[in-house]
Amino acid sequence: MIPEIDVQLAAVAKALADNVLPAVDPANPMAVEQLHLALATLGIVRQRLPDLHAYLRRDLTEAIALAATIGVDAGSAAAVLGSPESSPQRIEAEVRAVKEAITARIEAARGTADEAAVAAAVLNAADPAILRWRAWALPMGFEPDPAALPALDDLLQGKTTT
Amino acid sequence: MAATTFDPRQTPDAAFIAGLRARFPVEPEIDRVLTRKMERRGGARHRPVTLEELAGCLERLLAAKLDRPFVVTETRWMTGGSSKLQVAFALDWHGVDGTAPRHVTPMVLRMSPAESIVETSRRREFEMIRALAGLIPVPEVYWEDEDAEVFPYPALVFALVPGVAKPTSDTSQQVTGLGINYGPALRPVVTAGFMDGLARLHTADAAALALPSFELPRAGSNAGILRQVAMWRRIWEEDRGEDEPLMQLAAGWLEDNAPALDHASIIHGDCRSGNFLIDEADGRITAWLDWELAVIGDRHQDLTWATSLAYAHMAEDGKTLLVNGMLPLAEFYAAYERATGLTIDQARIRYFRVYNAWVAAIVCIATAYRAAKGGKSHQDVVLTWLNGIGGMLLAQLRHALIEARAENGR
Repeated sequence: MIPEIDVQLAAVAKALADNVLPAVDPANPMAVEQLHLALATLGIVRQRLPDLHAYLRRDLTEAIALAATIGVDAGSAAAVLGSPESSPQRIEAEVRAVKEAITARIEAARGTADEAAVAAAVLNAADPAILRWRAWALPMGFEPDPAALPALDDLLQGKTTT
Repeated sequence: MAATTFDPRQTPDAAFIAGLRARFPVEPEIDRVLTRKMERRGGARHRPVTLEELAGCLERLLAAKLDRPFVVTETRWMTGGSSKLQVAFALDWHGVDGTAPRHVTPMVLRMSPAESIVETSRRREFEMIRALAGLIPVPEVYWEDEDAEVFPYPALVFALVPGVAKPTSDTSQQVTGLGINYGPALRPVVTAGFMDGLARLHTADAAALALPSFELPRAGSNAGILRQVAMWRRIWEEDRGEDEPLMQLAAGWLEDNAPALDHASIIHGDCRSGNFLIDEADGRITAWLDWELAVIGDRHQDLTWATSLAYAHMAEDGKTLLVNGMLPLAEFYAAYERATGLTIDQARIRYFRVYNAWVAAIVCIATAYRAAKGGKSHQDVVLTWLNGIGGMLLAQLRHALIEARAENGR
């Protein structure tokens, strides 16, 4: 594939940094701030794009597992996960569909004998997904103690939870 | 279950909008603003506006409001925050009623983008600031254009108050200026001013103030907080991308455990360091800002927001955590009780920790995402950057929910 997407993104970032940034009016602070954020965003997209498929597959794997735990039919999700032809967009759409079904189950369980078990399963399942999101967003600089987070590679393989 | 990439929230039809309005009843003025947002969702992106265009709008507004000659000068963009566009300018005029000698007043024009990270009413903001004049330091507020009759989008004009949001000695760099360190010299004065302001705010008789666009919740009932939960549930359902089971779990818990109000207070809604200005020379608070999320409600909402870890930092000893850049948590609570004469109820603290974490997640995960997806703000790149804090906010929500459920037994 020529040009590779990474090369295109790198070329855009270089053009912005080398030629556009010096030409931006320093008296326009919004323009300066947004150009720096645009460059930082491009850098993170380049860094994370190779892992996007693995991230979404892990999302779907865990959504299917939670659905099974609380008695939700995940429909075609397992088939989509199992197919090598499933695109990232297809996997993401399936994640959304399973999560919609899960939240409907949570609402239906309110005030019933199932409520506590459903809540415990949701809280338990949220942990690895949250860690994965935090590790994914680590380069954005919000984490107060980055070293405390497990490695993204381990989280993508479902190896690590707190 | 059929997976689909269709997104009903990006181009909502009338039935979708009506369905959410019926499911989640909110205060009338909030309903009007949220409905307008949804009705315009499928329309144009945010249109960039120039300083010259806004200056022209100002001229038209002032010509309609003032009888005596005036001149607008020194228009310039202001930065900071992730929510609204702000332009500073100087108005050479004879005052609102035209009776004052000619003088110059520094002012701020605050205007919404097409959609904001928090979709709020400039009219409510105007009413609240005006009502608080004389109670706590706030800018003098002059005019609102909530219906965008003059400006491209809803707008507000108020006085530019001298002061800084954070001292120049604090060199921390964050997008929205979180976790401000006032330093050991200014800290006691800023803390005393903050507690005094919060006490005046939380003990004021809200019923006696002119706030026609606000509902006044009744003490002894939990209807007010349920109304707020309904508002944020509606916003989540209007704006979210993918659903999030933890958010649904929290929403249900907040409804099922909503505490009765014991005292109706004016709640700032984003009560924290960074949302007031100080005189850097003496630490005095010169103005409380950013009233767009103000409600009449439970003081524990502001208390838990101000004491969030997001606005804390370590003291100079490297081991004492100062909440809101001010005091250790227990001392903060004690200072508040002394200043207000109101008690702090730990059960309500736990409730509002869940509530605030949930609200922050809605803002950063749902609304910031949706506004950026539609190209609806003047700084979409800032909004997508803020999406990155979503994991941390969900971690905070999960922790608060586990703690509160353990204490409540459910």
